[in-house]
Amino acid sequence: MAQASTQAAYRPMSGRKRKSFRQHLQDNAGILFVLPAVITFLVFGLYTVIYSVILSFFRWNGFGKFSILPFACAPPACQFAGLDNFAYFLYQEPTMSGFFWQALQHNLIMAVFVTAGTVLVALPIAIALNRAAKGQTIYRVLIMLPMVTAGIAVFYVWSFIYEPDGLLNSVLESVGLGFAAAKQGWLGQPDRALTSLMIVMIWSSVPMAVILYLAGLQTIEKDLYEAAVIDGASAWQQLWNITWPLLLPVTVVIVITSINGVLQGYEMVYLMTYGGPAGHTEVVGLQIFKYGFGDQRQLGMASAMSWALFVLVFIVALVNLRIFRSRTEV
Amino acid sequence: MTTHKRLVSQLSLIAVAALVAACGTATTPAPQATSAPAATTAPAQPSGNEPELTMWTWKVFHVPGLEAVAKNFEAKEGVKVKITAYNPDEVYRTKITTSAQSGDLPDILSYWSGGQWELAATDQLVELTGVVDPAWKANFLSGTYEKSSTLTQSTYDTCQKDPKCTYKNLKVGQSFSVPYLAGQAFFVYANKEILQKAGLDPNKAPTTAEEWMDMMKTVKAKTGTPGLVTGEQNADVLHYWMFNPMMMTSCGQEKYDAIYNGNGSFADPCVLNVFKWINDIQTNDLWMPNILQTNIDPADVAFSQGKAAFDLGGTYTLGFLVAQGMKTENLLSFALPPLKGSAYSKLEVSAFALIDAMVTKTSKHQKEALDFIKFLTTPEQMAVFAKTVGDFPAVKVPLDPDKIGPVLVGLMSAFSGKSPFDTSKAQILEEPGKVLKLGLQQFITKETTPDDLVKKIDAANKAAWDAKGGPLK
Repeated sequence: MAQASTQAAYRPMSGRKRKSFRQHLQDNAGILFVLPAVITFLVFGLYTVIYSVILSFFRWNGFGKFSILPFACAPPACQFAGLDNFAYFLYQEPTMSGFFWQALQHNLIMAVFVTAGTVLVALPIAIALNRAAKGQTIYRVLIMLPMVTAGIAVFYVWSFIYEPDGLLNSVLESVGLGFAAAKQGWLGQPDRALTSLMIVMIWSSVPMAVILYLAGLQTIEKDLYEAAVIDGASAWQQLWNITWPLLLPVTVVIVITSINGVLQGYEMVYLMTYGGPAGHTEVVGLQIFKYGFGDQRQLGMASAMSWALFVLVFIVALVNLRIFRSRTEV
Repeated sequence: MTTHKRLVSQLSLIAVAALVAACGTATTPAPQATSAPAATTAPAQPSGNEPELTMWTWKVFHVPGLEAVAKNFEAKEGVKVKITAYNPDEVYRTKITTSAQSGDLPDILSYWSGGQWELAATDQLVELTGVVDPAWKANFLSGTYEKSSTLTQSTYDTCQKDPKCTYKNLKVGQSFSVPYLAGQAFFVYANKEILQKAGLDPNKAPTTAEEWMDMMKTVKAKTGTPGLVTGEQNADVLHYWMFNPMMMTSCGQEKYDAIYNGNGSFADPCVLNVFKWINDIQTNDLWMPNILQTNIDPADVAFSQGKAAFDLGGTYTLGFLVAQGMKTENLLSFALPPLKGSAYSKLEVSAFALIDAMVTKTSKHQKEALDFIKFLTTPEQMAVFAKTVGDFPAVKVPLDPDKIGPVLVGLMSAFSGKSPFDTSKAQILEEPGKVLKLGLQQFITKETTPDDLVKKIDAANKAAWDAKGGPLK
């Protein structure tokens, strides 16, 4: 009682009880728990994003003074460029814009075929694994291997497979299909390099898609299939009318992550072809890398190109979501 | 609770330390025993407060050579120099960029010759204009210091016209670095055994490009071995190692400069003939298979394994081939031969600066750092470096096999004091350069022809010079 009156004396106007520090902590525990993540995001996420947006309007080689907090840009190493960086590779300079649009075309081809290939390969594997009565664990481990193997090692092994005297040509020759072998190597011929790269991309992205599909398949009630069998539905009809529609949300995730990965990625191209032969596998990510970290060090240009790519990825993701949402809502 | 807090703080410290350590990829090989001669002066007695200098490079295999020189410097001056390599190139560039921002550059930097202007323009380097006196200048090979370590009039003019140039505040004649590594790329190596198998004279180098093409055809016809290999995955290789020297001999320096500087056309017969000759390598099926996916080192490895009769490389190639197990007596080397009817009957080859050393403004020991780069670029210490690493110094070293090794003596003897490239004022712009590089690769993929390519390059060159306000006069 005495305690209550003392508290009232301290806060006569509000009429509220004064909370102890402990109570404050308890009330705001949620905020405290997310604070480290928020701070990390603000410093390493938002700040760098804003920095990159502002940088895309400047020419800067990385040596002179450039900062956004407080703002500083010391010429001649740093110069305001306005929209020049964007104009340069989008339309203004015919040579460089030609290279950019060609690289973007490769990105889009890859996005379509790698995504379609991943879905078409992963879904049957997931269905087969889901139905396997024995040895499921072994099969799953085998399927997951590409996902857990170090990328750099995998890419080099594939490069060896694709060489003129590599495994693929040897196998083709040994089974009497020597005419189909790539004399200049599968990554060395313009008509096959992009396809060969996409095969490796599909190979490395299938395991994750299989995991997601398996998880999705296990949520489908068996009753649905039993009812369909009673109604006389064939296996194909079950797949098309039950499995595929119920797996659409999973497919949305796979499609968006795959397109996003393919449009932004460049590591595999960097390691396996460096954009060759004669620019036939050049992608925008690799161009950004070359502008930013090559001997030109045009960091503003690299940022501008990154944002152009972001806009494309964003639009593609929105379109995908819209298409799939309309299908799943029906 | 106190114990718990202590544990948490210790774990945090370990995590931060691990994170910081993981950010760097520094490679500091342990000092190696070297047969390099020590400095002749008596070792300076350390007083205990001598500064320790730091020097960065991106060439890991240069570290033992630089350390050998550093050891001699320590013996003479009592100042220690710690050499650290960061590689590959992109990592080194990023390391320098971030260190320049945080003021953590080393005392001495190695950097690509001609690339130091961007660092100099942002006040990162100690100016050496006037510091490099005539006696010091006399040490350098012709075409190195005066061409790429001093800001020339033509480099200045091009920069002033280019809105993107980031070193407009520099003046003609300013200098911020000295070269210590040089080389040249216009060398062809032949495998004598393969030439002999094809019935060719293994000791006779071709005097014209046509003769060389015939030799490659003979090798292919008689042994089935492809004629030529080089690191074509790197688009610069065909451009700088083959096309440019052949164009220079074919057209002569005046026309070469005029064409690149926007005052001439790539359709000129002297250029078109070079394109046709390079295209003929493909039409005669003389390239090693998978050539467009073969980079410089794998190309040299393939050549050393007898997968091609000829290897297009540079001064630095020889050491690599020997390291791969090739015997020098099995190698025939010659400068890239000119086409018949060329403006020059022979390409005079001189050294070209590749790596410069410079003192940073943030160095607390600028005098000692300057003393070290002066010491490094003396003929005696450059000989130590050259012998240790087998690479070509930018300084006139004694042509003594005992001092620099027999291989380098042979190569250095092949150099003439003057090359048309020394006085060339050609500016190769980025955009037409890209078209040219891609076009040369497209000869191999059969996607373009010499006639088509000259049209594309002319258009790109005109557009690029127009964007800079007109051709370079």
